[in-house]
Order: sequence, then C-alpha cells, then structure tokens
Amino acid sequence: MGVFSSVFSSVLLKLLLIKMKNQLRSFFRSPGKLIITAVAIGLLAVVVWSGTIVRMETDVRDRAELFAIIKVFYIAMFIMGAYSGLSRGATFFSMADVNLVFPSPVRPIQTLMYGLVQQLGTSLMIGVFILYQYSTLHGQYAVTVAELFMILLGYGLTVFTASVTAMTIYAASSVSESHRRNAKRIFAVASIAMFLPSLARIAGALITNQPIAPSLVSASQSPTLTLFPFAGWLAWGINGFLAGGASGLLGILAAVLGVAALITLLNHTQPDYYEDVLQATELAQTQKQAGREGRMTNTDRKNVKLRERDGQLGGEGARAFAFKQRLEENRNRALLLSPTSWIMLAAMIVMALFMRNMEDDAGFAAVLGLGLYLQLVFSAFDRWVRELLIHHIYLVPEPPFRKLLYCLSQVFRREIIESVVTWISCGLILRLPPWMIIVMIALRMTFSLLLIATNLMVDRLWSHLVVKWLQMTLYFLMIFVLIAPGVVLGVVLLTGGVVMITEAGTILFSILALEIPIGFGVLYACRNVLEYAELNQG
Amino acid sequence: MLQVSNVTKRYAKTLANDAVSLNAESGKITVMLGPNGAGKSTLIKCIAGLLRFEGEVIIGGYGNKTLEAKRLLGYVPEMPAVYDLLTVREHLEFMRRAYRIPLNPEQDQARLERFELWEHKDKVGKELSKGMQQKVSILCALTHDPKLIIFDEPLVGLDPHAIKELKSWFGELRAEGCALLISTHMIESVENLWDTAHILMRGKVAASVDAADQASLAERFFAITEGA
Repeated sequence: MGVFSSVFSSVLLKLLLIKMKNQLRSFFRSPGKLIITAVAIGLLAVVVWSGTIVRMETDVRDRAELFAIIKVFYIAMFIMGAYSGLSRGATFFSMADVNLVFPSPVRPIQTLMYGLVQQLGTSLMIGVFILYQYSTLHGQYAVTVAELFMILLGYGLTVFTASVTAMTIYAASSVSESHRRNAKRIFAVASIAMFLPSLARIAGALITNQPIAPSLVSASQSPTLTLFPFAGWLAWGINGFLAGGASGLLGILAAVLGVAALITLLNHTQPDYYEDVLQATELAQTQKQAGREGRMTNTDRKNVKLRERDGQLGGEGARAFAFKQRLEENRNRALLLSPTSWIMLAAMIVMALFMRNMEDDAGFAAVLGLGLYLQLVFSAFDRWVRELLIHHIYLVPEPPFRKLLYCLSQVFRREIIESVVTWISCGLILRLPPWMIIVMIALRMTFSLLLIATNLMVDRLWSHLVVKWLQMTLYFLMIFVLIAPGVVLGVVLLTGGVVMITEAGTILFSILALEIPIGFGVLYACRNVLEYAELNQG
Repeated sequence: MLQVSNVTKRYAKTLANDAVSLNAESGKITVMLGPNGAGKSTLIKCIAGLLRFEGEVIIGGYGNKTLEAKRLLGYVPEMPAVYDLLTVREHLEFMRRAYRIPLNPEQDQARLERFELWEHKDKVGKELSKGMQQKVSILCALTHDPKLIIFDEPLVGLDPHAIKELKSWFGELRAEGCALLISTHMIESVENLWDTAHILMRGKVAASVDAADQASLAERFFAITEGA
C-alpha cells in the first residue's frame, strides 16, 4: 500500500475517474457524438458480419505472413512515434494538466503515473482502426475477434511504450540542444541498423529474383527485429499468443520490465521533467485546436534554410500567389519532392514490391487503391488548402476565379511531377504495359483535380456549418458522388460488351473521361469561392 | 468611408450581430468597444468580407465584396496571419506584388525599422514570435496604403516600443485622411486617440459616443454596459 501511494496519488486517480465519467456523459449530451459512435459501431458490426460470412477455409494464408506484418507494423509505429516525440517533445499531458496539476503539491512521480495511465487509454483508442481490418484479417489469416483485440492491445502498448521512450530520452538529453540532437541521431541510426540484416536479406531475394512474400517473412524473423526494444518484444508476445503457445509471455515480460526501467530512469535522472513537457504540450494543444476547427496541421519541414536555387517572388496581382507558392514549395522540398510526397512514393513502392508477383490485376489494383487513399489523406495538407485559411487571398483585389486558378497552378505543377515519378516507379516494378502507366499517371492527376473540386464544393456549399466533422463527412460523401458517374459508365460499357484493351481499362478510361469534365465543371461552378469566404477561425 | 447598415450574422442558433449599423469617416479614428462575446470580431470580419451576412457594407461607395472596395481596405486580424515559409521582407514584397503596387525596398526597410523588424528581415514566418508576427501582419495591411484600415485588437502581443509606434502611426494615418476602425476591449489603449466610439453589447450597438463630449471613454463605457 505504501509503495502504491508513493507512486499513485489518490487525488489524481479521482481526477482520472471524473474525467472518464464526464467523457462518457458528453456522449449522451452531444447528439452528434452519439450518432458518430453508433455509426462507427454499426460499421464495425457490418465488417465483422461480412468478414465472417465471406471467408472460405481453403483461402487461408500462412500465418507466418501475419506475424511478419504485425512485427513490422509495431516496429514502424514505435519508430515513428518515438522519433516524432524526440523531435517535437513527447507529452501525455494536456494544457489543463500543465496549468493545474503541475503546480499542485503532488510529487512528480505521481503526476507522471497519472500521465502514463491517461496515455495508455489514448493509445488504445488510437488503434481502434485496426478493428476495421477484421474482414481482411479473418478472410486471409482466419483471425478471430479475440485475436484481433489482442493485436489491438499490442498496438496500443507499442504506441504507449514509444511515448514513454521518447519522453525519457527527451528529458534525459535536455541538458542542451546538441545533446538532444545527438540523442535523436543515435535513435535514428540504431533503428536503421536493426533493420540492416533484414534489408540485406530482402535485397538478396530481389537480386536472385526469389518470390518476394516468403523473403519478406523470412527477413522479418531476423533476431534484431525480434529483439527490437518494446515493439519487437510486444510483437513476440502477441504473435506467441496468436500461435497458441506461452512463449509470448517472455516478450510481454520484457516490455513490462522495460517500461519499469524507463520510469525509474526518468524519475531518478530527471525528476524535474515539467519544463521538458511544457513546450510539447503547448504544441499538442495547438494541433488539437486546429483539428477542432477543421484545419490541418502544418506538414512543412521544421528547419528551413534560405537557398538561392529556391527562386524568388514574382508576378503581379493573382499571379503573385503562384510565384509565392512555388517559392514555398521549393523551400519545403527535399530533393525533387516534398516530405509528404516522399512518404507516399515510399509506401507505394513497398506495396508494389509486395504485389509484383500477384496474378491478374490484383497487384496493380492494390497499389492504385493505396495511392488514391494516400492522395486523399495528404490532399488536406496541400498548400492551396492552407492558403484559404489566411485572409490575404480573399482581400487582394483580383477576380476570384483568377486568384483560384493561380492558387491551384502550383498543385497541378507538383501533381505532374509526382504522378510521373510515382507511376513510372510502380509501373516498372509491377511490369505494367506503357499504356497502363500513362493511364495511371492521368488517373492520379485527375483524381487530384477531383479532390480539389470536392474541397471547393464543400467550402462553397457548407462552409457555414459549425460542426466540422459534418463537413468532413460531406467531403468524403461528395468524393463518392463525383466519382460515381465514371464508374457507372464503365460498368454500363462492360455490360454492353465494350472492352477497351482490358476490362479494367474500360473502367479506368470511363472514369478518366468523366472525371475531367466533372472536375473542371465543379471548379468553374465554385469560381466565386474566394469572394464569399466563411473564415470563422483565427 | 465606411457605412455598415443592418448587418446581421448568425452562427447556427447564435446571433452574433443583430442589425448593426455604424459609420467610420475619413480622417477619423472610430473605435468599437464591447465586452467579450459582444460580436466585435464577427462584425470586423463581415466588413472585411470574410464572413457571409445579411445587410450591407459600403466602403468608399462600393459594396465590400467588390474589387474597388478591396483596393481601399486594409485589415489587421486578431490572430496574426503570416506565411510560414516567407521571410519578413518577402511578406511586404508579396503584398506589393499582389496589390500591383510598385516595389519600394526603401520604404519597406523604413517601415521594418520602425517596428524593429529589420534585423529579423530574413527570418521566415514560423521562426517569429507571436508579437513579431503581429507586427508583420500590421505592416502587410498597410503596404498598399489603404484608405480604410480595420484593426481587430491590434495592440495585443506587441511590445511597448511597437505599441508606442503604432499609436503614433494611427495619428499619422488619421492626418493623411484615412478612416481607421479599431476594435478592442482594452479601453485605455485608445483613450487618447478616438474620435467616435461605438459600444457593442450582445451583438447590437448599445451606444455611439463622440470625443467632443467631456467624459472619459471608460466612464461612458461602464455607464452604458454596467449602468454605473
């Protein structure tokens, strides 16, 4: 009891309970939240139900693949979480905690434990999206609902340990900025080093033209990945349970002991960690606020150097916006592309490598699907979207449509480069015929046009909506509405026996044929969007 | 220079501005006072054309959404809005280009020096403190020499030197014939500057007073808002 009370404060435990109770109550007070929760649960039920009825026993794949996916996924999440925490400062506290709990007469270790319990809950909530993978995981690897929850638990613990690791290293290296930089470098180099044996094995498989999937599974079994701190141990634990043995206990035990060691280290080496947490908490608060207001947080590079080759401002009137955006893009990019573009390219190349030996159109369809999904996600960070959040674009005395077109010109320029680089790389890996690569490049660019059109349409028609999640829902709905005519046309043509090169080609050509006029049509219909803004934030 | 007639603005069920009418004349400083939530910032944004509203806003004889009106208008928002990846100096150059005003590096330098920003001229927006961002935001609004300038809480976040300079600049702009509309809840910050004051309460103009009256602005404000 004495040890417990020295680590846990009864006041903070009560605070946690009150916060949980109020959180629950807020669901019943806000019809919007209740509807979203009901829809989310309903969707989950549909996913579980449909996944259960479509599975065919004969289709079950080797579970070794699943174990490899889990391990690499956990490790990737751990590295990204911890590295992000090291870069911007890790925190599991809110501004209210900083302002009210930190100055209160509670021991720092008790505050830390309060934060950790809070973080554990958040980490588990973040992983809820995993539950929606039930259909795929059940169909491919016969994963049961209980096993899925186990994977979710492992994910939550991975995110949690990443936060604890980042916070410990961040606080321990807070002596100076150079210490912190070095700690970050050591973490990055060590992480890459632990992947080297696996990468060497994959490279060998690619050179000798071995089937990629078994090679990736074999590469994931490297001891350096199994012993990867926390993420590797947790994957060992969860995979052990999924395999039906007790060997996983060792991995879980290692993770628990590791967390205990980090907390002890944090408490003894840096009991006064409040200062280190403060800045990170302020940043997290800003991002939270941006999310509430429907704004996307900045994905620009943290350190920007002014370089001659990035060019300079130019143009007059509306054209000045195009020059400005080009300068901003140039300052933000690393080599040819921006950081987000590099992430997209890397993800699609990895997927293409995975899928290159798939038969029929399954491989290219998976890469295309991932590409469109990433485009959708990252389109929210486009510079032109952020341009609409600053008042100058509305106030500059130029015709609104001209401002809009110049504002978008930079997006089209970037899209051409990205589409060509992405689909030539993926097309070569997937051994697509040249005509298909050209169609994919065109499709990616037109999808970008469609996303812009949808964004403008939602801004034009529903920018007055105060409830931002409703705006987001309408945004996703409108994407489907705008893309539907192309898909319908393709299906109608196929039903009528019209085949353009292949069946997939018919659908793709139909989408292309309709998306371009629809996209430009919506763009023109929204030409006055910069005249009638609804800039109600800031 | 500015005529606001029957402006009404609603956010869902909240009535932020309820048939507000007021004027701001050339060569005068008009202040808009009111407690938190009185609808000052919303009205400012309606005037700037950043929000949709019912009613009419006329700037220099033109509707506020027209290009002619936009040419006459300068707007300083409550939250400083700068471009993360443009330097301080580039902000001013960009505004000149966007408004088709001839480039004038000497004038830009003088203005930056006035706000003690010259030594930070090559810093990009995201490297600036909030106060510096506010200074850049003010300079951006003044670059094209507007005839009507609306300020939303302009002194918040500024250091004492910048406050002194900005107040003096207010006087110079008034002398040049500009119409200034300043929204604030810090009465003392405009006490010796104002010509006309509109006091907003619960989205309506509760009173309009003139500096020719003898009582201080604070006395009149509290008399109206608290019945003192």
